[in-house]
Amino acid sequence: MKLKTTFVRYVSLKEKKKSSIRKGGSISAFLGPYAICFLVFNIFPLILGLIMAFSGFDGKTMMPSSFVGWKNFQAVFTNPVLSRDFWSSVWTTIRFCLIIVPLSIVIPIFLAILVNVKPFGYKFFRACIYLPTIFPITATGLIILRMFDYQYGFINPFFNINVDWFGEVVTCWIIVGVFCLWAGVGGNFLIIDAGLENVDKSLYEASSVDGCNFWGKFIHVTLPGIKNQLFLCLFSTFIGYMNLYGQLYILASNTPDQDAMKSAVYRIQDLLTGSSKSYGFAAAMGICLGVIIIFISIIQLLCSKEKKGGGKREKEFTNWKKSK
Amino acid sequence: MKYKMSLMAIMGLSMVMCMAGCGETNPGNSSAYSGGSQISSSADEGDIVRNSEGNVVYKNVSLNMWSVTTGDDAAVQDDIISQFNSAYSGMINVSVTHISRYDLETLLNNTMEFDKKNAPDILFNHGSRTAEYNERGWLLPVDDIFATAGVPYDKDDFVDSLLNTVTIDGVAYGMPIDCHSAMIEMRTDILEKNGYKIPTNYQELVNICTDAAKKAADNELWIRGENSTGVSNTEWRKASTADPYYAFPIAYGDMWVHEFLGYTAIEQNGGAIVRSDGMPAWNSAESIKGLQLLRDWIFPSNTSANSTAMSKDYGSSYDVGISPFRSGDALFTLEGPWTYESDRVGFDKVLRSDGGRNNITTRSLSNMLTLNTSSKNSAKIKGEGHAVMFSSTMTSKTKQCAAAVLSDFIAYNSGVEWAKSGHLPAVKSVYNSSAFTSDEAYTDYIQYWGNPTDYVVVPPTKYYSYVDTYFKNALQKTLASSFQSRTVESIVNSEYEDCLGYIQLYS
Repeated sequence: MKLKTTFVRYVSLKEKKKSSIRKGGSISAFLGPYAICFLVFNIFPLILGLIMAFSGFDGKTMMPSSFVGWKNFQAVFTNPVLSRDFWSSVWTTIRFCLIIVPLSIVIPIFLAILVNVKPFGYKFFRACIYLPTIFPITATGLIILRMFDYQYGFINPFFNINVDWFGEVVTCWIIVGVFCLWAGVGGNFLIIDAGLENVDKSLYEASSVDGCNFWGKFIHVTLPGIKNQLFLCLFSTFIGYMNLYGQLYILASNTPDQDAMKSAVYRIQDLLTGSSKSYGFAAAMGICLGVIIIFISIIQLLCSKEKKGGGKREKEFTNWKKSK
Repeated sequence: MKYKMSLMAIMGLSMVMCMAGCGETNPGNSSAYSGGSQISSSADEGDIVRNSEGNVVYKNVSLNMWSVTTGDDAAVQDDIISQFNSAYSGMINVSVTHISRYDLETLLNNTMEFDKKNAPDILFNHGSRTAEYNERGWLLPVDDIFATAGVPYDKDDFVDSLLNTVTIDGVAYGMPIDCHSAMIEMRTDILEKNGYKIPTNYQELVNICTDAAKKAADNELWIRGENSTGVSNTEWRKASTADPYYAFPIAYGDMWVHEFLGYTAIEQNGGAIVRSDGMPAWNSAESIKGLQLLRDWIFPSNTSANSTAMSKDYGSSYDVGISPFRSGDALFTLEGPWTYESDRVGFDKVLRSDGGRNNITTRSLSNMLTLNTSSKNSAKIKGEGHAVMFSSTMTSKTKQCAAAVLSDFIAYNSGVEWAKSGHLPAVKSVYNSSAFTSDEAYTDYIQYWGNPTDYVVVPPTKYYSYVDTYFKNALQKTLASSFQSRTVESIVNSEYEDCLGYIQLYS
């Protein structure tokens, strides 16, 4: 009688099977909690949001009651009040981003370079710069609100000025911007500071030998050295401020011209306060905003993509060689 | 490959679990909880047990009530509930969770949608929310429940306006408990010293404010109060001539202004907040007249009753009257009635050697925002009222009956203690009872907050959020210096159009 398998092969297969189960089990144990959280808090809301955007709501429950196709999107683009309010708030948000995002990158770079010089007590300064990031914006926002209050804040008397910071659109946006920078630069600062630590010091020495001044070193050594960190900061900051809400809710709720103070997310949030009948529109607006953010991020990515100059350099080198 | 498969399986399983979990708490049969379906008929007694006399037997029935009251109000309410628990010991026990008005809506939304097992049995909330809550199927009609419980619900004994807020299409969805509004605090010591009487209407108020401003400019206005450098609180001094004297500070950033003053101005000038069909009605000529009066308060015009500003332009600031009122730099201020008792205690301290609390008094907003005091609306005050509502998640008939007993207890037993916190009773017989009117607090100050029958609460409308939000926008723009180039009419009409636009979007 011929055996179907050898003993060694049998043991090997058995062991392999056990090993697979063990490996699978350990992977599941490690990955499981995250996978569940990812599904529940990322994938599920995303899918639900998509479903909601194509659904109607009866106002009685928070769950969709009917399929309405593209009707919600159509309203976002054509309904007189909805489209006007939403798209003007999107434009307001983009304009704010155009100002705040560059500042949120430039200021941390400047601070990180200063700290990277490692002056006396630099660790203390590093902690101080990061500290505002850990405070909840509701608490700090209320302090700012009190500080800049038109009548009873101490900023106006201290500078002997008479400005209703939260009553006028421009001044209110300035305060929101300052608040965002104060509370937000810490994160970017930490990333850029860590990036600066990793820039090869020999490159600075080499550039010094080549006669580079401070500005030249910054442009040709520092910036390329922290390029990856800068892109990370750029994208995360941009996406963060496109979702601006909390700061405005706290600081701008009493500004009379509310239309000028609403960000896109604030508008969406407004629709979630009343009956659930508006949830479909809110979801459609959320998806439109998401698409805009993705679109602008792609443009950013394309603009910041490293240009492959290999062929051009090769040609230049060949020409130079020939000329010798 | 197997790893991938097992990973995929784990992810798929968790997704299914997640979906299933959500499905379980949301049966998707909202009609099962929608108002009206729970009480099929009086013959359907459910889990009710009756004794030989036909009364409902309560044995350790637990009720969970969510209340919108916080702070001092919450403490007073806890006392009332503990009285109830003592009176019904071993029969009904009520536990109260106090939730701020800012958190309640979100919490309620999430709980009623996803966590009905932990939903409250009873809601103690503003009556004006009734229509929206009922639209979502969160409330039970209460008439049959009261009848089943054998608890009388004498609707003639309740203030009409307050009863109306919890009544939809003739069906009651709760029991009104109280009403409240903003009130005016007055410095009687300064008024008396300068020869003024307590104003009883808008014209008198204007006259005092105008004359006080003139006297201050002429260095003839006597004031006193805290914050006077080198001068004791009780010592009289002349008001500064450096700045104009503003006798009655208000600001669009102030909650009292956009919650009560604006609406009251509309009502007293003959306008209305909501139409009978639930649509906003604050765009009428009468409403615009009321808002114009408030604008004139800060920015007087050639046609206004006041020739000088009664309030400085405080812009977006809030609580603007508190400080000048205490320092004597204002004669009047707006406050919530629930703070009045603590304000009296405050004046007992700062002016203890000269009358203490007797240096201030309080009045309601009645007649204070219209020139036509002979009209039937001039005494109206925009108010807000609390009501007890029964949650549609309360399926036990015995619990429903117990909730009726509790509602009756709160409505008829809160009385003067609750009124001291600024809440006038919704039950007429309680307000007119000798126990209420003979109380020292009533004679001292509660009587000046007006009769509950003068209070106008927003009639039931499922569009309440939009009505309120866009009216607030219109009011703030009316009073803001940056919008002075626009007429009140154009501001109101533009906000009204936006409000209608959103309402129509969801209709």
